[in-house]
Amino acid sequence: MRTVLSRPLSTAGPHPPAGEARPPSRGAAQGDRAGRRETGALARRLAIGLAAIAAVGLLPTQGLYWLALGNQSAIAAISAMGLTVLVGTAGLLSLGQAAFLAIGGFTAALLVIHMGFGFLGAMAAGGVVAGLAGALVAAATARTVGIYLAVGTLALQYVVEIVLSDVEVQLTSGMGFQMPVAQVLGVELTSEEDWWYFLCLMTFLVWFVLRAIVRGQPGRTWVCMKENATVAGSLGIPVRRARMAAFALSSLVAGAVGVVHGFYMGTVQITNYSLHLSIVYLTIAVLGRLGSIGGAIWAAAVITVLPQALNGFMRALGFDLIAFGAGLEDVVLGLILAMILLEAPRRLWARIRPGRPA
Amino acid sequence: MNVSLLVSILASASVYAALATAVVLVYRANRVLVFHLAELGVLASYLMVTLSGEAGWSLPASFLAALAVALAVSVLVHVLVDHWGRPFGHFVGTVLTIAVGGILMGLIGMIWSGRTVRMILAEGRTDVFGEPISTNTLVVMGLCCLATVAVHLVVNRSRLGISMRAVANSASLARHRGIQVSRVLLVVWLLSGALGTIAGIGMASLSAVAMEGAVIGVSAIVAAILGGLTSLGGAIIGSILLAFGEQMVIVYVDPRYSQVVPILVLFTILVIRPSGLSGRTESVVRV
Amino acid sequence: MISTRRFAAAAVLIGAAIPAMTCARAAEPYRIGYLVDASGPMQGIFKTGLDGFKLYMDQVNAAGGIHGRPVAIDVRDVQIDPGKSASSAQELASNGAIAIAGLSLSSTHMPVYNAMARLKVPVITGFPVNLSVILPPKPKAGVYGVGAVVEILGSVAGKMARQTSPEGKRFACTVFESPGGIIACDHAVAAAKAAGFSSAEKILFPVTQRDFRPIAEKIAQSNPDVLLTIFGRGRTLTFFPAIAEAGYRGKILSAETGTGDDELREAAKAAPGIDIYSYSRYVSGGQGEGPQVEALEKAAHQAGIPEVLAFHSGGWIMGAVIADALTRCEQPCDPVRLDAALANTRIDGGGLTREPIVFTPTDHFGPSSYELYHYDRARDQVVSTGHVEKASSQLQ
Repeated sequence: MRTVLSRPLSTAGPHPPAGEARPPSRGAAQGDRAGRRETGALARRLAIGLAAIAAVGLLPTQGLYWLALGNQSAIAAISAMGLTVLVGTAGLLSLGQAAFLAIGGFTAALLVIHMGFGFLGAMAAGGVVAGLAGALVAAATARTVGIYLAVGTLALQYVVEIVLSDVEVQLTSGMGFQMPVAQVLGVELTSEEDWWYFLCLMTFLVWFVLRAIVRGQPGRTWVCMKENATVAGSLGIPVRRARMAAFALSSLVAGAVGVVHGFYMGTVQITNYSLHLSIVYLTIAVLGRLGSIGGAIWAAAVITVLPQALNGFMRALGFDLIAFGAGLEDVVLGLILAMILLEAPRRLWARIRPGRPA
Repeated sequence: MNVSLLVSILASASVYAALATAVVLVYRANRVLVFHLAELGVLASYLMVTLSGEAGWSLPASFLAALAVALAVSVLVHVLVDHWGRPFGHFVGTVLTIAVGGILMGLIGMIWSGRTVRMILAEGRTDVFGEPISTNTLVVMGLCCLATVAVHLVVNRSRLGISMRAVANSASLARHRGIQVSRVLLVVWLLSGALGTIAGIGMASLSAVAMEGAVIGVSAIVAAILGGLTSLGGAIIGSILLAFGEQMVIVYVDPRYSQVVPILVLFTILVIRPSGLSGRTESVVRV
Repeated sequence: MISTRRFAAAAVLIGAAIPAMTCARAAEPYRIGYLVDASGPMQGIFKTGLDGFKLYMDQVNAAGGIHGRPVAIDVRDVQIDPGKSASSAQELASNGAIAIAGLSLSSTHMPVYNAMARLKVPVITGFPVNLSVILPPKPKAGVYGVGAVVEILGSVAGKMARQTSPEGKRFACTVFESPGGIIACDHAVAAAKAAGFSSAEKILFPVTQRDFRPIAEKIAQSNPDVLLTIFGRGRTLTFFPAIAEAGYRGKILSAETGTGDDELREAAKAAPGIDIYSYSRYVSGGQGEGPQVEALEKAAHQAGIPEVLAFHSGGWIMGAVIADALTRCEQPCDPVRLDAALANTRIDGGGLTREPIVFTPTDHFGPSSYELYHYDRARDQVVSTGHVEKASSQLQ
């Protein structure tokens, strides 16, 4: 299984990494190089870790604007991490991530308002319910693959929107569920800064856990399943259960995020969870490289900040973008999605610096 | 049920059929499910209504201009999916069309600011079995049917159609037999673009030129899946059934659930019979 | 590959820094933040309101400002996105805005209210849609509205319907499936029954519905005497011809909550045979008499706006409310003091609406009046019938 693990977790690139093609007689030199690569990788990881800690500490000093953006990025990042495991590692294209957020959010809203659940309890409950829903979807679509699955999740997105919209009208006269202040182990999350620290912690925890799962047995099973489900089945891997597990995990994360989002915004309403949001999460997952959990984090920051950046650039250049904002954003998101799918950056880079492996 | 409702259903069915045929056409050729055709249709309808309205062009001229733009976009999509995207497979190709759809909607929003405009192709009423029916509806129905039938004839009767079926069956074998696969794929995309244009303009004429017109894309995909996704005839039957279901639910049950119909149909098919009505089994993996 | 992506990421983050850096705190003007849908499908409504607001503030600034200081409007395009609305409001507040005005669709309101409540910055929601949180007896702190609360809009409709059809028996309300729309229809149906209609039903359709033929078919079959439509721009234009097509010949009453007289006329022309009425809180097209009507007409004419719509009037009134509060605001004026000033507002409509705008500490909406209009086919004009309904802010 080592070969499988050391392959890059992306949707393309069937070529093995350069190191494996080297002849064995260069054993000593190879070992030396491998040792240096490992230290290099360790150093890089340390640098990233330090930079992350610095970012967490420094952001609050930049003011409300940046804090709000940071918080929204963190929320998007957690959701995208779950999605990237589903789409990247397990190879199951889902267009319904926002639907699971909605399920989590609405579950939490009902439990909090009618049964007095607290924030953490609601998050757990929302996650569990969404996870079950995800498992159900996987079971229902067990006989389909690839494209059909994507369309099925699209259908789920629509159904959830319609059903929960009804619920919202019936129970809240259309204003959405008003959520109380979130309390985490006695600490109330009232300001943007409070939320920032909590969300950073949650992002780290989710990152840690998802990485552990992906590197462990479940992850390897999913990679096998993604490569060729029939072969995996014949190797004795319980593919159906693996699919359900992948969906359940991803939707559990999404459900928890839905709860967090609801408390953060102060309102749970169905309009917060649209198909557009699902596509944005997919774009984030693709941008951060499908299957890369850490990648989803910085990609979420980029995509969240993007509209503001666009606006800022244009205003600095003197254009009043006010009439084009919505459309331009959609165009840029679509272009990003397309370019990343086609690995345009890598190809351009290869053109500019010929001689490097494409 | 009166004649007017029946005509309304058939008109919607013909629009769906045109779009569903395009979906099936592309899917058969390279296993890509197109999510951008309805958006392309909306773009075409906005172009047509702008040219024929503000710019004062004649309807046929503005239609041709809109068609030209749509075909140009289709060429771009062909290059994107079949050339640049080829190493990545049909999966990525499908998501690419989602991206293209998003880009098109963004452009439409930027240029036309989301406004709604009426576009009537023909004024007045015509007598059908004693009832006065809007001539516009009949014209739309006629155009979409004509386009759909034309494409069916091309696929089933012409040499190009044989090449298309060969490529659909196995691209590598087709290449060995001397068929220029890339050119055939280009034609497939052009045809789908043309069908998308006609469907989009038809729908816009029946209701209005508006960004919401893009929702028929999902209905078309559902109709295609209902028919088996690889069967052109199935696409037509699926479209008729879907249009029927939607409008009957609106008139006799509750308009709120009109959008639920395609979704429920889709769910049911995926759970019970993923290969659709035509029963042609795809690579449905049983695990 | 990673390097290019990281570079792009850095570029994006720098781009985002620019608004934060270039929006320096200017001590001089009063900064009012404005959230609007300026590039999405509803811009015809909300951007028009902004235009009216700007016209008023331009007039104030031209006369020397308030206490010698000009009023500066910081606009953010939030489309119809709740998340963007909340973060834009926070950005504006942290850049020195002492109030947030405007807002787009109702789904974006609560997140903004919650975010601004944490900062104690007052929010004034414009025309058309307001949420009922601003109604007595305990309105949400810091939130005010000069638009139309859907519950009240619906109840007024019942009486208006009776006015258009004194003998009518059947009433129907049709609206797209949004929480606000459903509530409006519920209240309208109840009010219609109270006004003597023997049957009153509501017909809802999905938000994205643009093909109204089958729905028109359905409504025409039940043939109500009065049909209430609560649409925005776009839907009116496509619905009216469809229902005329389906053979309906009754009366249509259009609630002015996003249509605009220009579209009403165009839709009416495409629907011959139907008698069309509308009712609105604010006047449009220079109707009504009074100093504000004249001032708005003049300002609009100078700005090159061809036709004054109800949204312009609503924006103008919102400008008047804020300017008045700024004038009375205890110096130095900050968000908390501005909120206190707003909570004791009394402004004359000046002809733009028949009731004054009144806010009290226990009522952030106040009484409102609605006028009934009729589409005169001969003159291709929307003309007032003279009938006015006054509504208190107490919900029955």
